[in-house]
Amino acid sequence: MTHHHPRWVLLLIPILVVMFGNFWLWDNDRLIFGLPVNLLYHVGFCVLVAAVMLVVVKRAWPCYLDKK
Amino acid sequence: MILAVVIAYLLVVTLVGVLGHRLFRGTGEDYFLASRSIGPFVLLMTLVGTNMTAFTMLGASGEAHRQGIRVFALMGSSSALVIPFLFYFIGTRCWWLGKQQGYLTQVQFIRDRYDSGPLGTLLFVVLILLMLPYMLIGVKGGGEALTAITGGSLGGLPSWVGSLLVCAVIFVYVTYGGMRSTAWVNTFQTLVFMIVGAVAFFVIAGRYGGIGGAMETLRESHHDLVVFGTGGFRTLQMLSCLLLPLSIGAFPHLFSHWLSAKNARAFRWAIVLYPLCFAVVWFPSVVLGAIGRIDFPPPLDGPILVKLILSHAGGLLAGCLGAGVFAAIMSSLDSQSLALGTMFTQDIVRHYDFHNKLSEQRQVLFGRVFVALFLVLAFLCSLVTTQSIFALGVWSLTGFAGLLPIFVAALYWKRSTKQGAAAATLAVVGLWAYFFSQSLRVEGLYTVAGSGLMPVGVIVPASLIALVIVSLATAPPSGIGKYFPEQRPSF
Repeated sequence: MTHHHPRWVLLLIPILVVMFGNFWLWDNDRLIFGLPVNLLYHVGFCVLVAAVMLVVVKRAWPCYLDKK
Repeated sequence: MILAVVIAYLLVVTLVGVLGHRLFRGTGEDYFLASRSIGPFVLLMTLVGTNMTAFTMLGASGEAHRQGIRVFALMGSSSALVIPFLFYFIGTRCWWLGKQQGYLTQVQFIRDRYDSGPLGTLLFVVLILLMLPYMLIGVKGGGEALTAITGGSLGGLPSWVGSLLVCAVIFVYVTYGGMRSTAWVNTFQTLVFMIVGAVAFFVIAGRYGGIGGAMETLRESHHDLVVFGTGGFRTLQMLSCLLLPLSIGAFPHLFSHWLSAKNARAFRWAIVLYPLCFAVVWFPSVVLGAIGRIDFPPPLDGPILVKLILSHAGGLLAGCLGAGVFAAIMSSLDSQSLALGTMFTQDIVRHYDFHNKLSEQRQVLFGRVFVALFLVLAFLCSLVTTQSIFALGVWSLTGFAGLLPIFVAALYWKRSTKQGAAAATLAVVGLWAYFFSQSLRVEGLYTVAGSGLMPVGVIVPASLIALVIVSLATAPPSGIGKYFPEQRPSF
């Protein structure tokens, strides 16, 4: 629990943006588990964002929000 | 059969909404914000549902039919990335301020924060003007969906029927039950379109030999649809797609939903699970749209999802798809019309005429009247507008995204001034009008000087720059400690 929104949460954003723009796979037409690899990557990306936000709400939850 | 399923669905929705009224306490805060009592599951479902529009089911699949699976990244996972951070930084903070200061609308907050009635009015006008085209997407989408599902231009119902049905159902439960009905109905509708999307996906993919078989076939016949490719897909376009979801941070109807939360912890589920819910809804839509290219080459004369279902599944599933599309549409339109009703009651009637002397009953009455008026206006506009509904959507989102720096600064930058906020608003209005007029001369998607960068990529930075420069050039505000939790001595 922290007093405010920690700045390290902001640093996650450019990292995730770079991962979002997965230019290293753009021309790859492989199918994995029946899905185009780019599609599978972005589905996995959504799962990753959920996992990252789980860490954020557990470790970076500002306590002023919960004060009565 | 199809129509029967759709009508049955609409009756169930109306019933769920009307039941919401049973808990009504008669106050303005209860009508507009469900007395700030919405828990985590309903908040998650409502936020997901509100952001799923006619575009999610029909437009996304249509775009995927044209561009392939890259649509999932361009419009799906881009939102899945941006929106949880908006909930975390902006949603929770807005909730906290709303609870502390008793706000019901963004304009109330901005007027207070910058101590400027006129700034609030300027923002009010811009927000309303941006909301109307966004509402039209839903009204027109409902009409076009019902027409397509009941037989298309050759035998289907005219589009005004679907538009009227959508407006009528929302009219009943939103005027009657306000935010509480809206939240309950949205929860129900979000579950409906998630399930319908999944069922449609498995049934249709099965007809093509399963998802793997379908993708193999697609790769052979339309290779460019299974890759992102560098041809029509540029870095600037991808960047623009990350900026459009920022619009959610400035949506009046999302602001209302945030303020209706029971406590800040109710946001946790939404922050964590939103990306997963988003993927669950977008995946079937995009994949089916791309698969549709196998049997249905462009140009299409109706939504691809409807064509696929009518060809490969029976009337029951088509009726369920109709219900699913209506669910996606209404779960946005109800929130939008309620937000507009709230804004007119609080930001105009209460602010200019009665100055806090408006009784609770009068507030609710005004709210109901405005909701009704806006739905009628949206229906009438849907009869006369001819522009593509999805083109309207992108322009609306562009404007809202441009306003986001103003709200972020109000929440987090103490040095921002009312003049800075006004300058940013005017920059958004001016550039939006300029780019819109330029786009009228261009066929297809308009990008700035044909570079691939959408206007949002210019408007958002311009708004931010105007805000910063003019704020620093004007006198700093005073007495704003109460808006910033870090300054409170109890810490």
